[in-house]
Amino acid sequence: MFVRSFFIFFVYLLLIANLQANEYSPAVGKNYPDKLLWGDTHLHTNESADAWSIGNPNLTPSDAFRFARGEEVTSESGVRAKLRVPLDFFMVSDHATYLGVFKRIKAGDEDLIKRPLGKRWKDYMDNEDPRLFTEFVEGLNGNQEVSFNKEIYIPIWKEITENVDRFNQPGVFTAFIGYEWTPAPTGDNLHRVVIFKDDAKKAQEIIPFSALDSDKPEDLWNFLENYNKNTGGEAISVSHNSNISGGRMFPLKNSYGEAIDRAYADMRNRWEPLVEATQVKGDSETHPAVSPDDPFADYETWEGNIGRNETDRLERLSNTGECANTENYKCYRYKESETDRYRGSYVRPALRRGLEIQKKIGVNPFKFGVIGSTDNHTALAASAEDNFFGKFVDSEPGPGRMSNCMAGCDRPDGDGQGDLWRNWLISASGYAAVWARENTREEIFDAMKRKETYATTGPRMAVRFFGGWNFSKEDSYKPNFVEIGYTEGVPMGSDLGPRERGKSPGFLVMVSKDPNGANIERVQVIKGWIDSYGRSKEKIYDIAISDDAGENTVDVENATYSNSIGEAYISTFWEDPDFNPNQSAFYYVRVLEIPTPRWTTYDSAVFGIDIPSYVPKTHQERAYTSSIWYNP
Amino acid sequence: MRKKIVVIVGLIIGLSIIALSTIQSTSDINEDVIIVNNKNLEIFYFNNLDPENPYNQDFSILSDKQINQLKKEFIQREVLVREAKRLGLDKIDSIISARLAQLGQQALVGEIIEFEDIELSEINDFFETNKSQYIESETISFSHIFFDTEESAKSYLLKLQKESDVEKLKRLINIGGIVFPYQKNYSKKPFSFVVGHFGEIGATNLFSLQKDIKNWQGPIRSSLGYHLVNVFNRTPMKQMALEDILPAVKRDYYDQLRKKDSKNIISNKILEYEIIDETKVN
Repeated sequence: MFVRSFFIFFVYLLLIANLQANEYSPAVGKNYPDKLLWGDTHLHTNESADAWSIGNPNLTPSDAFRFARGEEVTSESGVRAKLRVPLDFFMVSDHATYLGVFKRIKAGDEDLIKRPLGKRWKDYMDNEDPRLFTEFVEGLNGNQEVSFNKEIYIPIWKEITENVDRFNQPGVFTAFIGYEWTPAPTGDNLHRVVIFKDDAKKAQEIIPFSALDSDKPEDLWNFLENYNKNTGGEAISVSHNSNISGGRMFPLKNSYGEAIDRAYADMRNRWEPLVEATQVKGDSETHPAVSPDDPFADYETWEGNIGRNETDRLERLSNTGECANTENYKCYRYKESETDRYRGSYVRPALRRGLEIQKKIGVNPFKFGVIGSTDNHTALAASAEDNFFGKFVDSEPGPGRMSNCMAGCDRPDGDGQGDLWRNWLISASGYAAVWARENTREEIFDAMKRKETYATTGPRMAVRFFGGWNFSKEDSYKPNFVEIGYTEGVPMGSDLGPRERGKSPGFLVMVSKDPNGANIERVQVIKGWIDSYGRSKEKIYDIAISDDAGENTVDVENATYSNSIGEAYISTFWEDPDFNPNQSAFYYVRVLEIPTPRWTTYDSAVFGIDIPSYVPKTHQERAYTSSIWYNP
Repeated sequence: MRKKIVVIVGLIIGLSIIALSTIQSTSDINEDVIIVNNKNLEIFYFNNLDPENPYNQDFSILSDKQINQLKKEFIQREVLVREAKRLGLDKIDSIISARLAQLGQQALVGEIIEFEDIELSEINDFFETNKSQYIESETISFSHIFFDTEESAKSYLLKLQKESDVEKLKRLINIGGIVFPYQKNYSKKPFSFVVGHFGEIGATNLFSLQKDIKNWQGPIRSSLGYHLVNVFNRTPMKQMALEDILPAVKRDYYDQLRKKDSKNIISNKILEYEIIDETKVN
């Protein structure tokens, strides 16, 4: 009897073991992120004090959500606007400093107006007193004299968050709750957007942390940690406009002037997994000063900090030719002595700096992924070159926007004395791409945390990027490419697994053009590594390049181009030919489209205006993936 | 007598006010005189600041050098503005008049209706009138196999058609083609979604296919390549029921009321003007 029972039990065990080796259900274990979702996590509406003040008193977060999900909305300047293809996820990130306050004071909110500051601001508004702006600016600078008791934000935040929940449709359209933390100590941009995984009920357990609470990123991350501890909810921060941070976005020292240590690195990695690498105020991938061998580095570059007196830091490259025109920003550069600022201001040098710090302290503090977003203040998440609604209302479509200035600046001497930006400079960029399992808050948020994301300057090109030790050329042709990528390697945003003896890392890359856009000219892998002296290096490899690369089909007069050049689809394998197993490294993919008209060229054709000589006529839009890291 | 004195005094005061304001307005419209004072300079300074820039200085602490620079810019601006006005350019610039109209609208539009006060019967009436806005789009559900050339798609279709063994056919479907960047299976997707993955031409071609569970159709062209398609469902456009979308309809109704409110205020303001219509159009 005992022997018989033992035998049956033994057979049963064998069956179970066999089933586990070969699952009965073929779908088991194949729950890979197979949905490419497009979104914008950075947009302002009339709840932001600056958007409200500079021409957008009417368009609300609801208008922004409607536009993002594909509905037609009439812009503040009266132009009808609609996205060609709706977004899959979206977040309004109005400024936490004075969130919703201007709008409500103007509308006569009794609770605000009964307070001394509210009353004063109401008087300013009624009398068009310019001190309203001064005090708003002081608030952004953290001046506690110009602040309300935080309780005023409770009903405002409640209204804003509940409205977001109304637009959230799991599986169809994801609406995130969020806001922007906007400090800029001494004019250096340290701005971050905060994205919540949670619904309104949970998010209402806090009041947004603003620049009036602190201008130190460490304090923001502490706030996010406490939110997590106290409520069980979760939120992350995403930095943006590192390009105008004066080198402070990716610093060597913390906010207290101490060298970065493990605690700082761990905290930053935990709460800030992403960087917004491209947006309306320029591109932050890299700069020619720190990537001199990269012929594509100078893309939508912004010099200096907005509105700052930079005369002591900038130099004019020439006074002749195109540079005779003092408005040509391309003719100014930081002085050689300022190069170090770029290293703390751009994504690629920051990834390199992260490896250098890792060598010293054992942890990489800049191990982030990338996304793109718009940062438009028009409630319209539009970033296509031929469907671009600008940064503020004064750069909405119209014949004047190419020659006018943000908020009416008028200092044509170009000496940097308080110059605001010329509107031709703004960039029709960008969007966030996320590889997720489902279109829900939880799935997209998790994808952001694991950095399975990438940035584009607007076009929706699809990019897959896997790294591993056992991939082959044949894998890149196989229909189960994605399954191979996940089972034999790791996706973008990850660390390569343990090295197999004698092998170099191999990468599977698949790229397809924006289904409604331009073909692809080339696919590149950008590698950064650290040499035995602890110095970081970078190199760019063209891993797939169209036969007609370098050609340009753009007809500037009519603002058209032809997909007769370039490729619609590229799937390939690349192995690092210069791999040194003792050197830590990162790899990311950059995709370049064929040349297409810039938004200013479309404007020229639509409105019949001339393009100034210093404004680029064509450009090559692009995508940047999150990195894959190798650690010896 | 007392009454007469009051009337006379009143008349004198009234005439004085008119005379004073005439003198004042005359000096205002003297386009050859530019008055530079602290008030004008301060307004000019703040109107030209970037409010996002926390590095701005308060007007009161500007140095003499900065004030002198500001004066130069102010005077230059004033001269140019007046010259432009003299030439009548402000009347013909559509952006200036559109912006002024926008500012006027913001200044005029006041109180709005409370969201909570909206009655269900009102929403019902609004829904009945605007039913056509609440339609569920036509959708398509399908699987597809992606190829980079039309020839490879055609030859694979022949392979699928020849295979009669169900298990082998399943395998062929799974291993066919090359990897498509988006999904292999799509369930109940509208045109606006499909166009984001297949482009305009691909979405149009897909929506031209009929439901046919048993057979693979195509190849059809998309902007990325060629596709064999198995369409397993199509749903037509459908009218949505109010109870399913009540909050959204209420919000739309509220928005419409808000717009109407704003329109009424503007219409009433128009009535306060005397319009002299010199066109011959009725």
